[in-house]
This record gives sequence, C-alpha cells and structure tokens, in this order.
Amino acid sequence: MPVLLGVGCFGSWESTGYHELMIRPLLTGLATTFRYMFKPKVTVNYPEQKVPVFPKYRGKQVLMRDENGLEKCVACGLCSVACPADAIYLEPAENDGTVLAGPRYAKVYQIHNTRCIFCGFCEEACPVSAIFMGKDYELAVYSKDEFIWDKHDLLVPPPAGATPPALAVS
Amino acid sequence: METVTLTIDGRQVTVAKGRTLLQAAIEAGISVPYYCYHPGISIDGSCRVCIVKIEKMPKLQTSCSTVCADGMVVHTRDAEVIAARAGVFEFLLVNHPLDCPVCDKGGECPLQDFSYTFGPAESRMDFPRRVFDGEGVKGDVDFGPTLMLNRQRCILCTRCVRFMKEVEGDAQIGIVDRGYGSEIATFEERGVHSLLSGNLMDICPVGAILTRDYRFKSRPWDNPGVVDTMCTLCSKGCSTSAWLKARPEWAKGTQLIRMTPRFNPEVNNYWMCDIGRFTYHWVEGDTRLRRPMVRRGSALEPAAWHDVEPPLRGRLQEAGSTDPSSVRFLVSAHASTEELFVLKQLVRGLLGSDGLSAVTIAWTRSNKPQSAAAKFKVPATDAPNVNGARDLGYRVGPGTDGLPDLLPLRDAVEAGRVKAVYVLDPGPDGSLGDVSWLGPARRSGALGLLVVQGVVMNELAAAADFVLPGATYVEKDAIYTNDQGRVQAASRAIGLPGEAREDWDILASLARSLGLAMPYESSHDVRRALAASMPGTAYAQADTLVFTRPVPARNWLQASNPSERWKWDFLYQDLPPVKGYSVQTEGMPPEAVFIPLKPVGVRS
Repeated sequence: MPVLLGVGCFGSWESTGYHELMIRPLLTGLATTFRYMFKPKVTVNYPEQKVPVFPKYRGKQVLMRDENGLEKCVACGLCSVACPADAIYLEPAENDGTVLAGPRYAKVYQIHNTRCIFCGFCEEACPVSAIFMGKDYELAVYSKDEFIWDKHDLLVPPPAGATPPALAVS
Repeated sequence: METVTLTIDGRQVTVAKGRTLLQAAIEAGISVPYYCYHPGISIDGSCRVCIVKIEKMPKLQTSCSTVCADGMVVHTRDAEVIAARAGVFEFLLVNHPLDCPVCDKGGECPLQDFSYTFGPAESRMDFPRRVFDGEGVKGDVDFGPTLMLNRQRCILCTRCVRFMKEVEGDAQIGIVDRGYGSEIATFEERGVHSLLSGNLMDICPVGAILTRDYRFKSRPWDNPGVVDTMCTLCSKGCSTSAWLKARPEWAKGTQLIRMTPRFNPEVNNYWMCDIGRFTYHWVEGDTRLRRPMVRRGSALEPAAWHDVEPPLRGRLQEAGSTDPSSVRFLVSAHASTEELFVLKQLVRGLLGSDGLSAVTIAWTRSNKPQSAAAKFKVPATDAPNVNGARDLGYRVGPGTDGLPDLLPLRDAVEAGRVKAVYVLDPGPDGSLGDVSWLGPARRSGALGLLVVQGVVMNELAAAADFVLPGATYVEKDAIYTNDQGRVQAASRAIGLPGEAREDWDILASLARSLGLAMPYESSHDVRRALAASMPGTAYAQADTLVFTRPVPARNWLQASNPSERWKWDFLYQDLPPVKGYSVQTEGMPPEAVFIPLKPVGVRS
C-alpha cells in the first residue's frame, strides 16, 4: 500500500509538468530581483554609511562648552536628582577660573551607560543648558569598566579658535 | 504660669504671657513665614514677612514683635494679609540673584521655600539686579577663616549681626551704608574671627553666609540620612546632627558630610562651636586604623583578629606573671562609659580591688579664645568623659578643671618598673596629651610591651607591638558624661572602617581570653549592667537612653537647615511648599487665591 501510494504521487506530478512548475517561479523571482536592481537603494552599508537620525533623537549625552571653550556645567546636581534611573553622579568643586566662568564646576561627572534610559530628563532639568541628549547611538563597549562615561567621554571638543580667558593669560 | 488667650484664624490659642504672636502661631501650628525672627536671638522686626491682621489695629502688624494680649483676634490668611505679604516677597527677590543652582543653600533655603509658598508667581522688576562688585567692594568675598560671604544674596535680616552681638559677645558684623546700599560688613573687611562662626551659616536664612568646609560639597537632597548624636570633642557635649551624604548605588559609599547643632536648651541651646563642627574629617581620613597590626621585627604587619588575640594574651600574661601591677593602662577620656566600665571589670579581675590604680586617665586642655561677654562658652577640657571616669571610680582628680597627671606613669616606665602599657584612645590624634616619651621608652627597651587600641595611626601606634583598631564617637552607640554631669547618648552614624571593632568589644574579648566572665553581646548589655551596678545615680537609667539611626526624610524638605528643622518638624509637617498649592489658601475659592500683579507704569 505505501509503495502504491508513492507511485501514484510521482506519477501525478510527472503528468502535470514538474519541470515547468520549478522554472516559472524562479524566473518570476529573478525578474523581481532585476527590477529592484534598477530602483534606488533603501539600505545603507551600516558601519561605513549611517542613516541620519531624527532631530529629536536621544542618544548619548553631551556636555556643552561656551563660546570660549569653557565648560558650561555648574554642578548644581539637578540632572542627578531628576534622573529616574539614578544614573548620574557628580561631585562639585571650587573653580579657579580655568574650567568655567563661574565659581563652581563638576570635578567628577559620571553617567552610567547601562542605567541610563535616555529619557532626556537631565536635559530638561539643566538650568544652564549644559547637558544635551546627543545623537551617538553606538554605545557598545568591550569592558564593563567602560560603561561609566566620565567628563572625558561626554564633553564636546572646544570650538575652533576658542581661547579660554584663563588659558589665554597663561 | 500666667497665660493669655487669643484667637488666631478663628482658633482659640492659649500661650504664656509675654509670648509674641509669631511664637503663639508656631506653638499652635499656624504657618506664618519669617526671616529675621530666630528663637535664639532677640527680636528685630526687619524682614516684614510675618505681617498679620489684628482686629482694631489700623494697619497690618509684624507678628514677631507684637506681644499677645487677651482677647486679640488675629488673621493670618486674610486676603489683605496675603496680598501684602506677597508684596514683601516680591521686594525681597528684587535684588536676590536667584543663582540657586550654584548656591549651597539651594534646597534648604527658607527664602526659596517661603517665596514659593507665599510669594507672587512672577516679578515685575525689569531693571538689572543690584550687584556689589563695584569700586573696592566685592560681592562674593572671604568672610574670615571659616566663612564665605555673598552680599548679592543677602536680604538684610540682621540675624548674623544680632548673633554676634548677643551670643558671641563680640559684635564683629555690622551693616554699613544705608538704604539701597546697605551691606553686611566687618571692620576693614577682616571677616569673622570667632569660635562660633559656623553658627552664622545655620542662622542665615539665605545663602549669604556659608562655611568653606561645606562649600560645594553636597546638595541637601543628597544628604538623606541625619543622625541625632552628640559631639565629644570637649566636655560640653553639645547635641548635634551628623549629616550623611549618599551616592547612587553604583557609586558606592556613604560619607560624613557635616555636623550641625541640634536644639538642646540645657546644654548648647541652638549653637555649637567650630571645633566640633569642622573637626570630623579625621574620622574618615587616611590615617584611620582599619586592620589589627602586629610587630614582626621592626615593622608593623596587618594581621587577622584571631591571629592577634592569642599572642596578645600570651604577652600580657607574661608581663603580669611576676607582678600584675606592672601592667599599666593609659586611657584617654574620649573612651565612653561602656568602655571604662568593661575596663574597670577587666583590671579588677586581674589586679584585685585595687586594680583601678593601674589605670591612668589622660586628656588635654586648651585655651579657647572667646570674648568675655560670650553666652556660649567652650570649655577648656578637650575630652567628653572625664566625669564618667570619675563616677566609675577612676582617679582623675577633683573637677574637670585639672590637668591629668601622667608623671607617675612616666617615671615608672622610664625607671623600668612597668613591663606593659595598654593604651586605649578612641579620640582624635593628640587626645592623650604629651605621650612622646612612651614610644622611645618602648624602643629603648625600658618598656617590654606596648599595646595601642586606637583609631588613628600616629607616632604612638607606630611604636606599638600590637595595634588594635577601635571605633570613633560616630561609629558606636555610647554614653558620655558631660561637665554638668549629664549622661548623654552618642549614636552610631556610620559603619566601622575595615575590620575595626567597637572598643568595649575588644576589651571584653581580651578579658574573656584572660579568663574573666564578660556576659555582654552588645553595648546595650554593657549599659544594662552599668545601670544595675550604679542604682540611685544618673547611670541608673543608662540602659533606657535613646540612640537614633539615620532617618530618611519623608520628603527632602524635612532634612532642612537644623535651626529651621524644628520648624519643619513642628510647623510644616505636611506642607510641601509646592507652586500652586498653599495651606494659606486652603478652602478658598480660586478667584480669592489669585493675586493679580499690578501692571507697572499704567495709571488708572
């Protein structure tokens, strides 16, 4: 009975043109492929090319500098207290004029990569527009020690041609 | 007591005769804002924010300077009062710089809190704010060795002026110039030089006077834990609060961040001295002892407790085998009463009933320069527990005014009559006085064994054979007896560093290893035994003294400036000064709450 059933099956495929059944869908698929070859590309070669992010995209934070290249953060701690994930730790200290214009600056400013939920509350809380949500989304690191961003990682480079007043004197 | 009864906001209030309306309102739990009033100093009536309406009086009156009278009818939530008060607040903020993000007071600032609660929503001031950075005048200046002064923030309540005049006794601060140019100043900008200068930060209702020690160190909401304890740096024993700064759990660690006075009418009132306020860094300093150490050859090497105790017992037994009285104890009066009690049992057990003669209690005295008129006097004795040692029977001489006599011990050590000295010193470095002869005596061999049970690495500990890390006054629950004979409790605020142990525990386990019975498992057991052994004295209730733990504030406003904290505790228990909500306007229709600002320059 199994043998008969098998013969019957093959027999019926052969009779309806098995070869024709395979080739037509193949050609249909290749036609689609060729059609798309001449249309504009929607994918990018990601590591080399990048898609521009949405203007309100919230990526890794940046700490801003003023027009003289001095830091803007006054270490008030409002970002830290606004942070719902408790991801920001900072230590204020007395400034000698070389770091920023005011008397108080952040000696330590740390954001914990894996705790941050990128809600942007720190940006909202900042009274001096020192912290902004940046556009950087490539946040993978090789070691767990690198999960903590400090000032070195967060500060933007000083603007070209900026001469911080105190540095210009020295 | 003679009383008067008056009506405030429709409530019958009965207070002692002579109380002012503001004090009556505070006692009754009715909220009236104030800046220049402070319960510890005299009444000035200069800030004008405590105005209330009193029936049959033609104008609004300042409640802080109006004495209660029988049958007075007072309104604090009248529409007229609310509008006038909002006007005063608008004036106070006309020149205030609003640099709250960089001001250390921000978050525990009565100007912030009251302005949010009682002030108008916005300012009509279009002109630039007054700044003092003019010719020869600076706004943000040094204000003596301990303080900083920011004149921009000052609202001229003159609390600091009155504090210096009345409590300090030396009126170093005054107001110079007048009217719009008035400023707080000292003669020739010399600043405040006083042992009580730190109190000026507590009483300043804004961020104008701040201490350098606390400058930029923490925000109020980062200090969630406050422990009610006492200061042990002199024999006064002021009630204090130890503030603990917390960190996110991934940046671990709790830190002792400041000490502030706590109201205690019988000891320190609202104040404390700068010595107690600023001398706490050594507790978490680099010189703290964290592990037991044993001398091997010429070097001290860290060791585990279980490796230290057997050789320590052996050496002590060896030293005391021929003559038990050749083992001497040198004990700092920083040792708490529990430790002295355990030590007393230890020496009595080893040396018999005359054991206490083997113990020398040491402390230091220093002259504290203060004006003769000062109401808050800092005693000369730098140790908290000389009276406790006396009460337990140690030989400390009469009164706390003498100096300890270390000469007999020194002579005996240098003559070679002493085989072992056991030093117990849970105080800061130098609290034993001049013991520079002890280390050389050990090195020269005149002394056979030196054991130091202490908290800091100093010359004496470096010369010791055994170094046992103990606990400082903020790391253990302990009782001390101050110069008035009051038995007071100092609570544990922070944990012990490293492998350090509480001092009574070290002494008790040493006694146990020497074969004595020490049935104590906690310092409370020691206090219970102490209370049972001294009935009829102040120590009979030693086991019922209350020790507090860091109490996290229910909201961060509760952990406020301590001179104002009682205000939050008694006056504003459930009043978060949140914009848009005010107890002043509870139950009033919205249109009555709204305080319209009059447009400037429009005449009707």
